[in-house]
Amino acid sequence: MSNSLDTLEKDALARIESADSLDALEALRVEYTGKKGSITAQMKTLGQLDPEERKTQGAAINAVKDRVIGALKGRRETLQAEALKAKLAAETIDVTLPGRRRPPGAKHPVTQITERVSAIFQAMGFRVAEGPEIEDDWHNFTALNIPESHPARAMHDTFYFDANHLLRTHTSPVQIRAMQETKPPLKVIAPGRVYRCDSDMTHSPMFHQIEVLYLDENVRFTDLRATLETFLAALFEREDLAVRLRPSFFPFTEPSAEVDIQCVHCGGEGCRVCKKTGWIEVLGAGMVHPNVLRSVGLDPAEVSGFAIGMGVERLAMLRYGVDDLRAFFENDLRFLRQFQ
Amino acid sequence: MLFSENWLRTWIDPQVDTDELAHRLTMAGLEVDAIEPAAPAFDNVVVAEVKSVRPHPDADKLRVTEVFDGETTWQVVCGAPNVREGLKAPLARVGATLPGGMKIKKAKLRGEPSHGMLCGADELGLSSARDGLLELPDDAPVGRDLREWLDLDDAVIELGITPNRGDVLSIAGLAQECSALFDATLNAPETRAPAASVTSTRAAGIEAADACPVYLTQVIEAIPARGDTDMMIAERLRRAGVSTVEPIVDLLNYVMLETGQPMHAFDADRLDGDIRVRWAKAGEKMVGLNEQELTLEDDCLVVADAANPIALAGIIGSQPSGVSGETRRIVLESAHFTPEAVAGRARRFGLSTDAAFRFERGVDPSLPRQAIDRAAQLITELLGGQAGPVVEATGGRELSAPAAITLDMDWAERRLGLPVATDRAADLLTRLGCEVTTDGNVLSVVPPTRRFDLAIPEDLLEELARLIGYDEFRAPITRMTPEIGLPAATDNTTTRIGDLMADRGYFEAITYSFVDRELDAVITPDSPPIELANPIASQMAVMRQSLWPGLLEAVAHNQKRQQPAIRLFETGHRFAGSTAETARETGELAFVAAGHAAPEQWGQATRPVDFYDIKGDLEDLLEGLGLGNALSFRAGTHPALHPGQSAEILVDGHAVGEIGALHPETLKAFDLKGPVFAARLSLAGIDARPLPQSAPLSKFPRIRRDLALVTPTSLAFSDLSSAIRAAGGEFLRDVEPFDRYVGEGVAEGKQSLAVKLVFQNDERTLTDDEITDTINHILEHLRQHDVELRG
Repeated sequence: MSNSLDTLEKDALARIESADSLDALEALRVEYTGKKGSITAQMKTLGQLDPEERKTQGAAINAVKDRVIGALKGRRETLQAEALKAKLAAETIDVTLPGRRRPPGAKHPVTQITERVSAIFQAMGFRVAEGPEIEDDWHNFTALNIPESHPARAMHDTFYFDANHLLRTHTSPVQIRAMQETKPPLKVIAPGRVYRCDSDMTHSPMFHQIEVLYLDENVRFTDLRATLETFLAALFEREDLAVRLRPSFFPFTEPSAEVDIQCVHCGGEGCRVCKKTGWIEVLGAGMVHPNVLRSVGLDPAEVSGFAIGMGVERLAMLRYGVDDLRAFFENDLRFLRQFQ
Repeated sequence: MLFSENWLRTWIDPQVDTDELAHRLTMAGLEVDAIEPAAPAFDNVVVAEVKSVRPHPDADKLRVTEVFDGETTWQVVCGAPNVREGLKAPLARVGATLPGGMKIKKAKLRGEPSHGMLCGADELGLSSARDGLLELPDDAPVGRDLREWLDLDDAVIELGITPNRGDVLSIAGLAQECSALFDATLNAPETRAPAASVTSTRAAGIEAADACPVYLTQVIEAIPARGDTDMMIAERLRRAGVSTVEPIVDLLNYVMLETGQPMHAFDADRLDGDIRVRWAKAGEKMVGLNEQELTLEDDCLVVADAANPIALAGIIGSQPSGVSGETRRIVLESAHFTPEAVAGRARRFGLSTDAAFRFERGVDPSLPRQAIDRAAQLITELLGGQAGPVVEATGGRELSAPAAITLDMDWAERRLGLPVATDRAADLLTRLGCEVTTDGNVLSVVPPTRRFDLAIPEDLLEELARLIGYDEFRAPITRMTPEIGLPAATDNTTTRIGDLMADRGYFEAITYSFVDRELDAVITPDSPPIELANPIASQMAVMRQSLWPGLLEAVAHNQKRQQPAIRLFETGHRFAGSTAETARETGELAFVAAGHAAPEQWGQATRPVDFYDIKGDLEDLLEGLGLGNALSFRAGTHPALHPGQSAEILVDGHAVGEIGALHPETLKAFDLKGPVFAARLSLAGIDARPLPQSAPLSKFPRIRRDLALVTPTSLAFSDLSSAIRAAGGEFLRDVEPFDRYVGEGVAEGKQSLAVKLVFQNDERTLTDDEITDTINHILEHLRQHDVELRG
């Protein structure tokens, strides 16, 4: 009896171990432990034994059954793992093939510079202001202390519509509009398109400027420099960027300055970009001229301020190494794609 | 403005080298744009005399000369046509190095030995014209080194002078400036007015005293026939970029460069009677020295004789009254014309003259006397002639002396940010030529007459700051009223819009605001555009009424460059209203799509972009702007768009733009390969969003039911959707089509449309029965619209 149970177990374990599919294994499960299985059949013979023997023999059969069930489970897990592995192997793909893309576009480099300059000034508390591009003579010239006969008018090659209307030649008229709308303290930045009747390698009939205006009681010339240094260091991301102010002339500021930075290409050593001077002119600035304040009804004795004006294309050319101004307005995707 | 450094140094000689001089000028606001040597490098070139000339035995065009270099007589073979006995010319001796590095060696030219080379101006880099040997004057010192003799070791400095500084457009003016900058003394050449040796005069009358407060004339007679202009004068002119014309004219230009006073001379024998300064009569004509006929207007100031204008005052003389080589008798003019009387006129006639450039910026009204004396001196000394007395005409009005400016140094400190000691300020301003009196901390400053730009205290602040050096004014920001520059949270800024468009695959374009009239009319045929009076080109003649023309031109540009997928957007102003007076500028967002819907990819079919691609971009944009729920569409009729594939875009029921496929005629006009799709929106229609408001999330399940419908193709989905929503009750949350079929098995004029309905009640789970009842109700309702459940 116990011999045949031994044989049964050995036989079952051997067959389970060599079962090569889940189906074969299921057949073995039925054959041994199913309702009509051979181990179940062994259980049914217990009734014929005396109680003492039944107990021993029952325990022995149950032990065999547990081991067979254990073996079935183990083998099933093995077979399942192998099947999964085979399935996954069959699903292998070439992960180096390109994905299904929706490539992003990009903002224009002029916009990228404008937004960065605006963000820096917004962080200093300046708000963005706008104005019309078709301006009247008063806002574009007269209010900015550029009277009819001033030679500076000749330097602005102006597009006219009629005797009194023109395309603004600079963003400075937005200063005037901002001062008319808001009493000081006033901190505004006005980016936008401007127009000059001039077109060649280095001039575009349309380009972009950013105007910055700060008005308050007792704004000082030293505040202008400090603001410029903070701004330019942030824009060019160089904390120790050297900044130089040179006296210049704009009708709407006094004192007026042209502002140079240490050449960002050669670090001031002198190169092609800075024409060997070590310095690059980046913007113009100055203290708001009293005549400009008077033109909008402000009293220069009570209010002072500074204005800064910069050409965006120039900054974009410097920062991105663009050497042809016209590239900005051709809208060639091969160019625009470089600014992602 | 160009000037010779050595010429300046004869007036004032600060102890600094050229680079430091240039740096100091730049940092004082006289920006040095360039520094060039007056002559390129060469050496061992001397003044020589040609002693004899004979033909070359073996060459027709060569001559064999004997040349004396001050020590030795050399045989030199020369090919220049103007070589002749007695001529003084530069000789490059054997061993000399010429510009470009050429070494002069002993040579044989067609068998004749040549010891050195006689040089032309071009070979020495003094002129670009090839004009034979450089003829030196008879009194040129033979044997003298040419560089030394012509003072060629000099720098030509180019200054960019700002319009406020007319006073430095001369050697005298620059010297004044340097005197203040370097605190050095001025050493002006002595002017000795020639004593009047004849009595001839030519009276002038001033009829426009506001425009011309003073007008001096002087007659010089019996000026002998003239050769070339004095070599030194010519060299200084050359270095100032002024070409030589005729010795009298050259001397007057020289006086202008030296003093800053523009001068003119008339041929006295070609004037008809006395001289008057008056306003032109409208339509009056004058032929200028450049032979251009000018038709004058009544705001042009002229100098006239009894018959005709003889000069456009302060700008250009007339051709008939001008000085020529034949002229023996001249009337010198030295006058003050106000900037207002000259400004803009030269430009109006397309003229650009040294005189106009100076008068427009302001010339020192005290200069005319000094300048006319200097001119008469140079003419009589260098050319000969008999000078008459100087006659001064005034309009009866005194030249007003500059007013005193009050400068409070406490105020100056508040404006500059740092203190400037009162006595230092007084010293600096005095050096500039101001008369300064001090009362405590307050200065009273009378500027010199040459400084037209000094009138108010701020002008003096700038002078102090620039003489001290702008870079000295450094201090931390004293205070700045704190303000927040951020836009409102509910603003849909162009920054945000641009980010969404770029993330969606669009590249930002910047196109011109002025466009071709015809292309603008293709897009906006029914309203005339605003025209520029002086466009730069016909394709940039009118202000754009839409951003589409520019973007479509950009699409064409990229199509011609084989770009397979084109997505461009732009934000900017459009200009409505037919005149600048009535212009309405409004912000617009426009975008265009052409080419592949998605990049070519190995795993999916490539297809061209279609209406629903660009519409999807628009829908996602507005979703991103917080306006997804406010957006709707209806079929549109834009003339530039395909009549069956265009829609009006509505936000909260208001039309804000258009979207669609371009009409074939539009494609043709812009030379485009279709299909191309375009959208545009008024920024005002999308520039604000509601602040998001949170609602509780439902705990109960959403229930989806799909309906397979057969609908008339004429029924717009938006109408079907509204009908379903109208009948669907409060728990119907979403109606979305997910499949559409037209063709075999579906009747003509019908389409099979699969629609997903989503129901949800936030308070409880909806029952099957409820939903079935609702669906039946919807289907019942849809029958009115000829919509059936598919059989």
